[in-house]
Amino acid sequence: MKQNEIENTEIKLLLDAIFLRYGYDFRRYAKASIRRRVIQFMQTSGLASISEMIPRLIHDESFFQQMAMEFSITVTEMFRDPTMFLSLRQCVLPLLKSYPSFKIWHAGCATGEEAFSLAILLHEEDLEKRATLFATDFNDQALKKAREGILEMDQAKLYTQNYQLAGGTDSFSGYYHARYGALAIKQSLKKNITFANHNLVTDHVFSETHLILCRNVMIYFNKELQERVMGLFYESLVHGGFLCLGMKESLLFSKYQDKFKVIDRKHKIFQKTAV
Amino acid sequence: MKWWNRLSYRLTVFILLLTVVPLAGVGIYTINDFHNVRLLSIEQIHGNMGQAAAERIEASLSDTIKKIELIIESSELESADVSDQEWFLQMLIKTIPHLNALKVVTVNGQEKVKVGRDSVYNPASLKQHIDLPDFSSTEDKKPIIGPVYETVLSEKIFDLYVPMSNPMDKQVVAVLVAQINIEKLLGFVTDLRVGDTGYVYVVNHQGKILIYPDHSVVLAGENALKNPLVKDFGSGQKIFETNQIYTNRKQIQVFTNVYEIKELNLLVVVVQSVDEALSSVRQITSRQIVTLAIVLLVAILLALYFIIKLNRPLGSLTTGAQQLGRGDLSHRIKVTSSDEIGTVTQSFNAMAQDLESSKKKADRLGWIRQGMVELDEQTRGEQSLEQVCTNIITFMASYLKEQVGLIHVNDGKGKFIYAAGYAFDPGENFSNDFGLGEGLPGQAALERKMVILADIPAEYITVTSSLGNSTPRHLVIVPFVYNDQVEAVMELGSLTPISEQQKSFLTETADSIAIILSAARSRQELKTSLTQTRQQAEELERQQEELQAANEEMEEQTQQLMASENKLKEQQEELQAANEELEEKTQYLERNKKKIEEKNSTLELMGQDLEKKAEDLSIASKYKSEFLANMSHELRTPLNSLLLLARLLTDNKKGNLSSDQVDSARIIYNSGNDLLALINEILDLSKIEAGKMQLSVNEIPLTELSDSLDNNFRRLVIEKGLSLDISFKKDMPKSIISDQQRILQILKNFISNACKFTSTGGVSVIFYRPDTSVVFLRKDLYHSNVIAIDVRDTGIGIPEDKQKIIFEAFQQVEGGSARKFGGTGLGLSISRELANLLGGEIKLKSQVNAGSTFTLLLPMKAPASTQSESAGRVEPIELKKPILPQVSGTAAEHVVDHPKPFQTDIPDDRDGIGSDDKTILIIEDDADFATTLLNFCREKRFKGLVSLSGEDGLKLAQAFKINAIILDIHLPGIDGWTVLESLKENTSTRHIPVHFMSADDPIPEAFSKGAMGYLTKPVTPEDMEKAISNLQSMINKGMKDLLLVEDNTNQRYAITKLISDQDVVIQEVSTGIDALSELRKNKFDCMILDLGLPDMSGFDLLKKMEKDPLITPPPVVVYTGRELTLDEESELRKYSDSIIIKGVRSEERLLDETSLFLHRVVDNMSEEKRKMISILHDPEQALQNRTILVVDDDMRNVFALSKVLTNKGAQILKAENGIKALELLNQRKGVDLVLMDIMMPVMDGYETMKKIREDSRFAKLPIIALTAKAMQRDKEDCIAAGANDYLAKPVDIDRLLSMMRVWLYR
Repeated sequence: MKQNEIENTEIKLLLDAIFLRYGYDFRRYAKASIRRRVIQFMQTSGLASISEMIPRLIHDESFFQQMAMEFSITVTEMFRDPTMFLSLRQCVLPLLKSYPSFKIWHAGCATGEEAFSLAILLHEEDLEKRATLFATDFNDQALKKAREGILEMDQAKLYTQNYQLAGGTDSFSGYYHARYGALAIKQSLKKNITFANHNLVTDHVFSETHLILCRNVMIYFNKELQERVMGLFYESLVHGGFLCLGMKESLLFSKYQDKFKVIDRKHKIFQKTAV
Repeated sequence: MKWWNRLSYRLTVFILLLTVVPLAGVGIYTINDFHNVRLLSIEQIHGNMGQAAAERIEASLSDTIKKIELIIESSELESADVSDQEWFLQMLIKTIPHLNALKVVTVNGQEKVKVGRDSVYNPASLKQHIDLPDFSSTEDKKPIIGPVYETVLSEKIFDLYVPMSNPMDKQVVAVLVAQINIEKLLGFVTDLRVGDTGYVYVVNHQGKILIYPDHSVVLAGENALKNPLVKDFGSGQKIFETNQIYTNRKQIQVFTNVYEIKELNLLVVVVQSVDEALSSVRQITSRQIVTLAIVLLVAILLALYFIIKLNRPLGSLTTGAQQLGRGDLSHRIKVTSSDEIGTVTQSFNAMAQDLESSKKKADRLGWIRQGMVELDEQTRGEQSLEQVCTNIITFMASYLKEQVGLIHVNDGKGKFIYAAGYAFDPGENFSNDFGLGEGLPGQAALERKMVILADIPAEYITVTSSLGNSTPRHLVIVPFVYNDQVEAVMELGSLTPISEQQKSFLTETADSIAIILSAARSRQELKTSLTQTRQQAEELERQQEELQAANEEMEEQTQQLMASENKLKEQQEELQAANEELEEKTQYLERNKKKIEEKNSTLELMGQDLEKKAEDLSIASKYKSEFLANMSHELRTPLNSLLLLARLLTDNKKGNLSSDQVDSARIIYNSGNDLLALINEILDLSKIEAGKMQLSVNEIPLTELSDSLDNNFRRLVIEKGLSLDISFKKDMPKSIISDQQRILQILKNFISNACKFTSTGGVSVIFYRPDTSVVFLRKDLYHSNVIAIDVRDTGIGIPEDKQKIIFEAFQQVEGGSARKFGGTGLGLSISRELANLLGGEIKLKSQVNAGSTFTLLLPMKAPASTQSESAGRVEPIELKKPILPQVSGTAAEHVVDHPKPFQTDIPDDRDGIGSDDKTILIIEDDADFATTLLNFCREKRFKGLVSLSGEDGLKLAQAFKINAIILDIHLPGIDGWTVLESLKENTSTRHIPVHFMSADDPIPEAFSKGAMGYLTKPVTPEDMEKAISNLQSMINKGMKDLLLVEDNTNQRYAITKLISDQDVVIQEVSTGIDALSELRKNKFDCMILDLGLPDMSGFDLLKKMEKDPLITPPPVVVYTGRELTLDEESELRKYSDSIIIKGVRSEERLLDETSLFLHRVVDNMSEEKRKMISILHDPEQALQNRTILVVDDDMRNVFALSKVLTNKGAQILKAENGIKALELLNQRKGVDLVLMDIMMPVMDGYETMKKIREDSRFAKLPIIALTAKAMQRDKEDCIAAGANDYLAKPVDIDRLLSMMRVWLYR
């Protein structure tokens, strides 16, 4: 057996073990990505082979928590891809305005920056009373951080710039308190967001939603899992609801391709159409 | 300590040895000496005694001898005569007492004279011979002593032989033998005494005792061989030993010594008891022992004294030293004596004092050093600055036993910030920080000097404990300086003044604390920057990961694109290859073609003749088929009216016909029917032969088939007095895919044949799977895909030779001769053809008079009959066009010939149509039938319009508001198909449902082109009835009607315009009242409602709609300009699935949602929804009147659940989040069960459940958690938070209901 195959077998066993022991299913994550994460974690934990991680993972829950942290990528920023937010503001929110109340699901919210951005958007469009914003992730640590809503001060410049590019109508500084070298997101913004644990790999639809953001999450999934998640979104969305994917993601090869129409091709905003 | 190691014991032993050993030695020696001396003296005494005795014995013996010799000499005895001799002898005896007897013996041993003491022996009694000792050898001729012997009187006697020699020659002439009594001789010995117990005895050489103090012993003849000396003497040994000890006959230990008497060979033995002999020695010995004992006692007493005297002070010294060893340096020993021990004790005390004082010193130093070590321990390791400060202040305060302490740390900017405290209670005036020189601590920091304050004011600082407060009166402030910088300032307060020792400790530690603090600070700074760097690195890594993943995603997409491109390329290549191949083939074909053409040209010439003939034949056949096909129309059209009217007459509804007339009508009807059947059969056969027969292949449940047979034939068979038995064998499929009508046609034929040819018994129909013994003629039939249907009868049977021909057209068993059984004889031919068309075959088994079995074998899936279908599809239209003119020409001639009324001749309702009337347009060229239809419509309360041609029909359809159209296909001018197309092309007429009625067989196109029904002429009244009622329901339901309730005219106009291009009839109203009345009158498919109406609010309107029994509320789209509260929305969602707030982009949604409702058909609903509908309206005991609280923010879910549960008889309370749920629970009593969503805004399910459980009233309230989370852990969390059970979303309603039944069960 070649080294490569051995490694693949080891990874498969490892992921099976995690699934059987903890119920977290990483088996349908994109292979190359998960391989990198596993090897990276192996190196940081000072073990010599992937197989060695298995017994530790099974017996040491904290070790698994560490690993789960390593597996979940939490790259995010306020108003990431600002033009996408601009597009949301222009193409999607006016339509959402026709609902007396609506729900937004931000799946894979990580540490919540984009959820805060959405909250700002809703606030500025005077929709915050009508909107319920769910921000979910499977990573409890990240969720905890998101609930705290404390951001790094040194990002403030970038965020302000993004905010302006996203068509902000106010001043970004009005949405946070700066103190002790950190930015604290204002309570009024946070209280409209329900942060909750939801695992796209295993869990089901929890609510009827009108807009779903799931950006740069599915790039870590394999095709099969991507299809499952698309199914969840499709099921959750109301007729005419919106789906917003990451800039690098696409519905191109999905079987749900025909069930959505493109609202903004560049920013990957889609609308669920009638059957 | 072993006892022998103890000094006291040793001393004792030593003293004892010193006193007792010499004493005992001397004593023993003395005793021994004395003993020896005593022995010597014994020996001497005994010797002397012996000697004395011996001398006395010898003296008395020699005295005797001398006396005798004297006598001899003096008397010359040897020569004297006997009497003289006797006389001398007697004299001798008288002078020597111890002589017993005397005799003279001659040398040759003859006794001559013998004289006793008292007697003289006469010569007779003298002995002849006596052994005499030999004197010849002896020089001096001395007397010889004989041995001692015993006389008969037990006298101890020895003989003394005294020689008597002639004085001349000195020759011994006789011997005088003197018998001497030894006891008398030695009698004195018994009187000899040695001491008290000592005595003397004499033994002879044999050891025999001769003389003994106790005379009896001698008389007993005892010997003294017990005495070792005597023993030695007896055995002839020389005796040297003295003082021998032995046990005498009285068993007493005695000393013995001897003295030998050589002449007599006797031994004098001296004996004395040992006790007596040694009594003096013993006496001395006992005296010595007594002395020794006394000395011993004295020595012991002395030893004890010294022990006591020495041990006590030594003991206290030992305990003293041990106390010292244990650390009790204050221990001193009392000096009790002035001797050496006293001195030792004194110096011991002095030493202890020295030790004590030096230890105190060491302790103090140790305390400081230990403090520093502990401090070091407290601050060792990677601790944060705060931690270090806390540790320092805690340690310092507790080590110095201070009551309170705090520490301020230099923040690097000249400010000192409170860092940590010990038992510190920041009072009101406490300020977090101070600068250099500010306040006392500031001052201390500035001066870099320790400040000590005593008697500070009472309120300065307090020490607080739960028992009370107190104020420390002493304060010390210590600045920690390192590298010329004050790192921190520490303040310590206590109730007692600070000691020198504490102070020196503070001074000693201040520097190291400063260093520690400084190190901690720089470590903290380092750590902060390290964390920052690491975070940045992690962030970078994450971003990289994301980038990489994104790239991979893109790559994958690209790869997929490339793959599809490659696929396309491949296909292109394949196509190209195929093209090339084709080309090659074409070329090859062309070559072949040329050859064939050449051959053909010759063949053609030959064939042309044939062709011509064949053409003629085929044209003839075609004409026949065409004719027959067209004839069907022509034949059926008159038959249609004939049959219908005859039937109506038979019904005699008006009752104005006599029974004869009715019978006649019935005969007309029956004959017509027979005629129709004949025509149909002929037509069927010709159609099949012409390839025009179409199949309508569908899924047919077999039970439907059997039911249909049963319905059709049971009566007929029973009327004939036969039985009908329809049965299924095992393993039958539920359904097959085939053409039901044709199957029934075949089976009907079989059954009617069976009935025909059976007079007794019955007919049975059996459905089964053929076994392997059945041989199929068709190659595409297999046992696995075939079902068989047997029709068995008990009739006359069919002879073998006829079995084949009965399937041929126009053949009958009996030929034409005796036609007992009527019929065209086409049935079986048609059946065979039909079976063939269906992909099956027919088998026959029969015996004459034993019945027949017809078996229909059918594939489970009929082959797609493309040939017949395409023929059926295309030909009616295409073939008709060239041929129709001819036929219709003849038909037209017919029309002209017949006195048929023109279209207007039929009086229809075109002048009397009211606005509410429903109108049906009849387009039919057969005026009779049209009239019949018109009457039928009128009966059904429709208004009817009649048109005899398609052109007129179209005009009427435009001109009138038509609700439905009945359309014939064969029309003069444009035909029915064209009419249908025109109707559908026109927007104003396209919605009108069209029903075909034609003599032609129905073709599938009719429905795809928009017809809603198809009836084949001739029609029965029942068919008509059905068609009309179909239309009726179509009219009522098929239209898309929209009710628009909007008071604003412009808005109304806009909406109408937005929606009107659809297939929708819009009814506009502006008030609620109008809306209600409109709703009562008509059924709408959808309703658009503005909430703000002039007469009532939209809410009221919706409520009234709900309550009005006459109204079935349509789906409502609420279209409003108002913002809605959550409650309002929730209220509205009860009635409306769609709420649209007017805005810039709202029209889009309005259009979308409206069209959604308008086109939603029940059949399109998902399986699940259907199921939900099916379980509606089924009230259930378990849920009846139960109050269920549904807590969920998802309206969709809430309404779905409420709908189901309400219909099950439960009462539903709703709450969209946890807070609302708790409020509801508090307000409303009697909630029986809670359905709890987990993921909700404001307060989630977990928290809500915990809150509910906290309230004791709800401890047992069943809660079922509903969650989208799927993991085992989530379930556990739910249960842990207080849920009784758990159900994953999407909710399976059956499971939920059964779960609720369980939890509601009482």
